[in-house]
Amino acid sequence: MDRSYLSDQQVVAASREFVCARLITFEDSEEARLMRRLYGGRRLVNTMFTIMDPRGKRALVRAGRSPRMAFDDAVEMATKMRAVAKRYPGRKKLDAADLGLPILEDVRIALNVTECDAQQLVVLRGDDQQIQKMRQKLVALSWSEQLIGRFLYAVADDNTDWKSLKGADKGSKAGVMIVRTEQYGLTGEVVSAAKASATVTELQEMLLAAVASHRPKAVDTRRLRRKGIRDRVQWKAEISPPKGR
Amino acid sequence: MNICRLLLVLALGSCVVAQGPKPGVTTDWAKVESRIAWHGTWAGALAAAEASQRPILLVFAAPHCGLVPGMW
Repeated sequence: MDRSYLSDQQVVAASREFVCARLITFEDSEEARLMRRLYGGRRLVNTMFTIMDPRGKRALVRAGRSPRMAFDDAVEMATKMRAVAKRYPGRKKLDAADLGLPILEDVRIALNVTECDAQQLVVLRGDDQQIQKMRQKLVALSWSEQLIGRFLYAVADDNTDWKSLKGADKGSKAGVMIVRTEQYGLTGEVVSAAKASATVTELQEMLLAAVASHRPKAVDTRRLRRKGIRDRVQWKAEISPPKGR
Repeated sequence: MNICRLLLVLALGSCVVAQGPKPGVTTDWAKVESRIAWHGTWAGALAAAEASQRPILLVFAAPHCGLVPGMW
């Protein structure tokens, strides 16, 4: 993924007028179909980029492997994004709930993505009603100035491997956990937790404290990849990536 | 043996091209002030776009390189 464009501060600022979707390739057959449709029916590739209309029907920028294929630099990308936002200005009266919680449901994938982004993961656990209430409490916080883009969110379910979350187990109570991941994003450690009944203020305090104490490390991807090969660490995707992708 | 090495180099090379940053480039996340907030599912993103009428910035990415997880 092209971090140089997507972490550029002009692009980040422009993204606030968009709904931003980063879908995980090789993990969901429905989303794989979407990629094939947008990318001309060709085989799956590990990265793809485009900008779409609010109905998700029409690509406004020709789909390519990365923003680098569409724009000379991040400034040009931000300029295009501002032009698109002007053409599709969105609803004026907007509630945070309209934007939804930026969630990646699957805890296993979310751990990996959290490490890729050097972020922290918020895991919700509980029954459907409890999850719904926790989502309602977190949604406005997730889009607040202090917390936007700081966490990834996931929901634990029957398939969650609790061994991958140090400090949590199958018998833990319903609630919200903040998790920090190890270098490959296969496991994580619970660094703080709140009950499902926690108030919005209590959740906000917990999230802000986690942001304040988090020190994301610089990552040398080449070195990590070599180490991963030596350690025989392999990601198992739902859909097998094609060779030579 | 040489063919195996060549295949390994090609596989890693294709990954590097796809991922964008040059190999070995260190990402210092502490220096990134603000970040994009990403929806992780198409269903969630589409619901948000329909409710907000905002356009969609869409990226697909694989959280592994050479099948080693923990990096884009």
